[in-house]
Amino acid sequence: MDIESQTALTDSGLADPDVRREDSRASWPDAWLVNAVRREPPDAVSLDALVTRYWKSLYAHCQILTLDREAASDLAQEAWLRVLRARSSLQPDKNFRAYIVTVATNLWRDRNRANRRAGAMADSRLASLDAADPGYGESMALVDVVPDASTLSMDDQVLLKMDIDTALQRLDPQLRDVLVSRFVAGESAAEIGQRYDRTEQTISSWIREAVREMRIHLGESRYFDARTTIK
Amino acid sequence: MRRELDIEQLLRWRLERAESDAPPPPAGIHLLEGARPWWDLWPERFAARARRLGAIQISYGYAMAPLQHGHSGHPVPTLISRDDDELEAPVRVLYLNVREGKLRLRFQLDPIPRVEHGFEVTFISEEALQPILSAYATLSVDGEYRLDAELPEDLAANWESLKVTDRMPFRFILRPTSDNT
Repeated sequence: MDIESQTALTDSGLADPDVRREDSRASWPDAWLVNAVRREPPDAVSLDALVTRYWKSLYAHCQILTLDREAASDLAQEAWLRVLRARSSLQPDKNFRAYIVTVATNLWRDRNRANRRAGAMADSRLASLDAADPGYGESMALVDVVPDASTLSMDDQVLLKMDIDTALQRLDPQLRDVLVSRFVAGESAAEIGQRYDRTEQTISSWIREAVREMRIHLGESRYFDARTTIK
Repeated sequence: MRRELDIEQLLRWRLERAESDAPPPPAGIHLLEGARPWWDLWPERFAARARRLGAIQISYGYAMAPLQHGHSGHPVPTLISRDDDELEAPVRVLYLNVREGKLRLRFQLDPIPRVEHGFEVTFISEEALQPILSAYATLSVDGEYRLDAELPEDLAANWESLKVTDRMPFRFILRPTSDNT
């Protein structure tokens, strides 16, 4: 049975008449929910289930990009609006979480790209990195040392969050993007390079620079300054 | 007790914290309301824009003239619709490809009235002056706007044979993305 038929069967109650529609949505697989959202008119209950399922992870990704609660919430909602405006083209069999995170990330990138045009300094700084010896510096990330966050008190966790955000904020947005793409989204340097039209080696040097700057910024932070030495 | 963490673990920890700090999700019904197309939300505004768009004529001489940057491509009558004003600014389609239901389009404003980093592009049918597609275009590094969109089956079939030099079966209403969500 295809997804369309499964969704229609379940929606009509024939698949399990004892289960109320509203209650069953939360257990539906993404493909069924996406399919119900694609239809005209879209099924708002299925949409609620899909939004609820991925809201936290989408918001968190937006938070680490924007470093601002309100901006993160706005970005996450805007990503949803974009997805819903083009809902007829949603593909139920694709990874929905990855898709909506990509939509949000692209929105954020578009804005940064526009902001970059306003100032050439950041571009020239990255251009100098392009010319640098690329090497393979990503592994240096593994020698950065910070305390085990899970063992921290609540107060220290708040401080650590603020310090990480400050360090990320001080990165050029493009460096922040490659850092997040590499270490949060798990993209390879080659994949990131395709997006930026740069070589894998160049992206590796950007990542290395981003990590280097993070180390410096974290080293200057209130939390790390008092508790640890950054190697 | 302390143990070593790397940058990746640090970022993932920050991500987990952000998840736990997430505000409540928006209601689906509100998202659906916000996602309604602008021509549906403001039908009178759309009607006025469509009337003006339909009245735009592009002269043969202009259509054949090369773009200032040396590109060619048939001009598409276009209205840039901002919150506070509207402006006629023909667009040159530089690249158009429809394959496997997906539209890839590159275009340039001619002349460039004001640089916008992105537009919501509403495709208006040439004959009926009705909205047929809406998609987002973003400014690329070389001053072109690029748009990728999944097409409904009927449009994909109709546009598959379109060439960039053809007269396009649509007109554009461009809404800067900074003016809307």
